Amino acid sequence: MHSEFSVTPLNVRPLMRIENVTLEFPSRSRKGGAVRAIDDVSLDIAPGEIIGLVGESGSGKTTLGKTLLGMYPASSGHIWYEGVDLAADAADLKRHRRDLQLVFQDPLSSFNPRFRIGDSIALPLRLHRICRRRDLETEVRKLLERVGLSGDHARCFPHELSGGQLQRVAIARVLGICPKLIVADEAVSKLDVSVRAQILNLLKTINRDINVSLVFITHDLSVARFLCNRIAVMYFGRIVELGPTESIFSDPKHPYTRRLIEARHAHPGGDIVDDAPGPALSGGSMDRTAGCNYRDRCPVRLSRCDIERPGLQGPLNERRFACFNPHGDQGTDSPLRAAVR
Amino acid sequence: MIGDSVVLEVDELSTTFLDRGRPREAVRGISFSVRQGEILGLIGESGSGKTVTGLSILRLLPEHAEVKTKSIRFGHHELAGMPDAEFAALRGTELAMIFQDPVGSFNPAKTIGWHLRHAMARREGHNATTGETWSTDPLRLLREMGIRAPERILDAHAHQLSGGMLQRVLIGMVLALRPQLIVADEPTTNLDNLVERQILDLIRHHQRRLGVSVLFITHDLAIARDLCDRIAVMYAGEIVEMGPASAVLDDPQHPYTASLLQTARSLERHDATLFELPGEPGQDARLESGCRFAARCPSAIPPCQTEHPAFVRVSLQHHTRCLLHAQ
Amino acid sequence: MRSLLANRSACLGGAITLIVVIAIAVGPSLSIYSPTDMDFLALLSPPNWKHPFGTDSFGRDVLTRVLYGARVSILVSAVGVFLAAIMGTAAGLVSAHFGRWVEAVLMRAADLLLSFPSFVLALFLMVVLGFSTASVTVAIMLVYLPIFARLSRNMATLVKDEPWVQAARLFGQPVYSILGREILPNIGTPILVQAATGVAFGIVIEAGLSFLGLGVQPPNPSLGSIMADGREYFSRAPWVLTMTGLAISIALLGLNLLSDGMRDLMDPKLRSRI
Repeated sequence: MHSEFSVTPLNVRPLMRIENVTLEFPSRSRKGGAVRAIDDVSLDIAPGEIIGLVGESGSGKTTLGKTLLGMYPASSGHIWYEGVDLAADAADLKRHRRDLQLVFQDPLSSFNPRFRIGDSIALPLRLHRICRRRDLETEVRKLLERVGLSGDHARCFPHELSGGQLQRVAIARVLGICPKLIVADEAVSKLDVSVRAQILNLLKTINRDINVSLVFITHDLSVARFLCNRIAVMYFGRIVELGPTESIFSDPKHPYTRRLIEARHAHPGGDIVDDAPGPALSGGSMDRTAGCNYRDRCPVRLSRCDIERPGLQGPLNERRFACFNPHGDQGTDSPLRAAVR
Repeated sequence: MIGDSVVLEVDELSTTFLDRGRPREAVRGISFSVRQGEILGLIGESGSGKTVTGLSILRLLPEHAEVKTKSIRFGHHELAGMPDAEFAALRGTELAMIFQDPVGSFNPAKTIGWHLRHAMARREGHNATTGETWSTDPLRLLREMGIRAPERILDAHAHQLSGGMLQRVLIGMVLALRPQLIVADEPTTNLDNLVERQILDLIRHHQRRLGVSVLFITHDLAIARDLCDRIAVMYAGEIVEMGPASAVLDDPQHPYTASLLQTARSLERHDATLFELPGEPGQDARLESGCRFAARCPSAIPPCQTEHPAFVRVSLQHHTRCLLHAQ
Repeated sequence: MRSLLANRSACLGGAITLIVVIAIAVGPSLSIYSPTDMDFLALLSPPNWKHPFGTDSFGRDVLTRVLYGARVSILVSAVGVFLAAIMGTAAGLVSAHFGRWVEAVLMRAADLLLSFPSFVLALFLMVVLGFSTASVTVAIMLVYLPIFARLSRNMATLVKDEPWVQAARLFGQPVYSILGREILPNIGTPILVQAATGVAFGIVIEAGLSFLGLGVQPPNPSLGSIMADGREYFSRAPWVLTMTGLAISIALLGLNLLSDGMRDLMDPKLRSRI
């Protein structure tokens, strides 16, 4: 079970070990071939830690989150959990279903519109026989109160509640079956600013109270900074930087990470030319030739970057980054201006 | 530069929805103005009425919505009571809009090039040319919007482009029409941060260059600080604070504005626990008396439950609707 | 339910359908005549107080025969469509969920049935199954089976990737529960609309088959066979054919208005609020 990360930051056995996972979808373009949504990703998740997966759309962060829950089948690699490889055996996945849960981006569509939310919360409790049938109602009330809602809300239909309230219900529903790992897929992106703070505080409290691991997927670095112990920055299906949150912010080594950090601030002289990743048109091919995927946008590109792809380097378990020119101190061949600080 | 003349002046706008027999007031008697060349930010969360305000002005609401206003002056036109046909000629040319989801603004069966040519032809027919040539050439227009390979875009259809790309095209189309005022409703909310940054820079760049006035609707205070000259904060259908961006954001007079800023700051400082305001933005929206923010307000005093605060002046350009400032 | 009452189409259609249902449920028992009572003294008499719809060539009361006949026609159609709905929806749900070869087989079978114009298919089935009331029911069922199968498969395909269904899978909900609880209730309305339209057209199929003598056999009344009778002496006694045709039209009107009303409710544009 050799992996680049043999020991997690907390020096305990990891809850989940993701080992060289790749996920390919058959390409819809005329040329055929495959699109790699996740490209050779390895990551350890410690029990009780909150790890952020940060990146833009198309970075593979959501796909990775869903793959480790078994929602997509990995094309290659291993997902080790409790001694079994979830990617290999569907039966193993089924047995551990309860431990691995998801909170969706849009709370409204994550509930069956025909049923009251009390019933929706009770269903997983019943499925996994968490409590006796006659105790269900009490249990549901307790869960609602735990997330800051009144037990009376059990009678409501999903469309009667606001986004913030529904996201709390979603968290309550998941908590009911005591999972060990929760993936939160952009769980606060669609919420109002004031409500966002409530949910973020709630997630932090829950993590502290029951020591559940959280994989927090977001494109908003400032939210990740508040919530996460560690952050993995993803680009084009690969992790390009990984490390403890503060270290990422105080000393970002990858130019993409630096750019994400700057994004919240205006720079009047900034380049407005579009350079989003991916083909300009859907259906175009994504040229996965050799070399670094980021080179077209990189302000500190070297000639080496066109030929060789940088692997993740840096001290084990602490800081990892995939760049030949981490601080730009090797000069550059790039005509692009670096982001203004 | 920001001129003295007023491009848009809204006086006592109210919009009510007939929700299964019960009326729901989404906007209650708001008044504001946008000057020539300025960007006015309309800030609010769900239930604030900011989007409904934009749609009311543009007459894009469904049948069961009732819009009442004393007056909406747009340039030298009076929009209130204007016949639909006359308004339709103004909307889309002098009075343009950009929405959160750009896809809906495009005909799915037509190419981008078709849309651009159509927009330009409409402009030719409507305005006198100003002598600038960039807006008559679709390729050049797309390049001005920061699109690197515009030739491929011209033959594409809307569904083939990413959200950010479409928004660039849409902004280009709208600017090509040389409108007096653009109503932009959360144009970057669906976009990732990096793309959002670029689109905002793009809007600012061209707005300054052309002197177009913008009514910018958003929930994001950081964008407001970045982009807007003046800000109006809305809560439960009313404007609760209005003034120059720097004044409102650096010295907020209304507790709601202050709490929004505190939440944002708390996030920037990455406090151990974020500052949070209890309750929901849409809460107590149907209260008949008192301040609509009273239930959640950290500074509420007893009169707030019964007395509805008036819009009072705090300083030269700065107004707020709060009993704490009523004199 | 409230919104159903608010819709004028649905209200009117529902009212008419309800009247028709009550008429065929209760009417025959209330009638002083039986459908086979013959009154030789009043052959082909026009509508009058004793016989509101007149009498036919055997002196039988047309109104009574129409009520009995309508009962048979509507029951045959309703049962046929109901069976088609149950089996077709099940097939559609299974297709949508399992996909691949299961879907391919079921949908191609459905396509095969659909490739025949409904009446031709019904005729063919009558020849194969023999002429009787039961075989008309089976024919109507087979005509509608593929329609429900395709409809429910299409709707289920749209719904099956919705987040709440994904959540159900993540919780380990068994397949039958996902199909029955998460998917089915959310595709129910289009199926009901189709059922209403189906019963309406089913009446037409039944009437047509019986008109040709291939469906319900004499002396059992059916709207189609009454019309066949009435056609023969139309010039002398137009009321038989006319009143029967009118009865069919009213039933169809009610059902179609009802299904139109229900379809309006499904239109998201009419339901959305900002």
